[in-house]
Amino acid sequence: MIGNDVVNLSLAKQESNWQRPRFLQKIFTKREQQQINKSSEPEKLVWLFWSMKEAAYKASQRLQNSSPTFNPSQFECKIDVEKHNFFRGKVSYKNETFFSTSLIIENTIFSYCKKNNSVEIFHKIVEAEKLKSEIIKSFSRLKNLPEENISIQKNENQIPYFFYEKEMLSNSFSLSHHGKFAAFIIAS
Amino acid sequence: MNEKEIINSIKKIVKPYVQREEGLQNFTEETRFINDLEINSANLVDVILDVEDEFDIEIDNDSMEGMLSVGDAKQIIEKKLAEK
Repeated sequence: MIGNDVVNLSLAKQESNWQRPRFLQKIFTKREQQQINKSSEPEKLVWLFWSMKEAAYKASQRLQNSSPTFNPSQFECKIDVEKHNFFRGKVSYKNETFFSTSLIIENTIFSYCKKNNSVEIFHKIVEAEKLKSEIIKSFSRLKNLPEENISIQKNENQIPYFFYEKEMLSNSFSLSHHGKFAAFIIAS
Repeated sequence: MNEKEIINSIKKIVKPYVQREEGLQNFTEETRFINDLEINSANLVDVILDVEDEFDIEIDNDSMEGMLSVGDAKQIIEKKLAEK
């Protein structure tokens, strides 16, 4: 199971004030707060951790087909590799571990998580308004199915699924947008 | 504070974060913050902090977990007010 998330740093600055009292405590574990506080780029780390948590939450929700919840501080992020604007790490939630990859391009953070690290994935960055058509196009190519028969519908827990005509497909995927950029990920 | 007053102050609190204005027209206990009002998930934190300030209560992270609709929020507020 996989999940992804996109955070545009300029838009996040307009929409949220992460320095607001108690904001960090609601979202981050003690260890994450310490790392943010001692970071030379705290704002970037706030949204990097946030996007990792969101991506792991989506993967976990799809895994359990659970109803939506909101408790980001239960997801703990750890960054193992950091090279320029590329990050690999892990997000733990209850007994599960999700493997994360994040990159920062054009002031935008793109993160995705996988439950099973060996799963091959297809991740693509697109313009926000083309997100749905692009993911359907890529999925149809990956699976060799005609594009016009594929649709996306959400189930009772708001988790999106591909449909081939009226048949629900089990393929794991995730999509996210923020500002003008969007990204999707498909398990291939 | 009665139910109606609580729901009205929730409506006032969420208004600045709502991205789907139509969702405010039919504002009931069933209204969901993310799905119906399209509040982004980071702003859900602001909603919770604003609720804490407005009612002078503390919502721990576990209570926050289920706070996804107006009705959920109302119940948590009533519970925390009763504990005061």
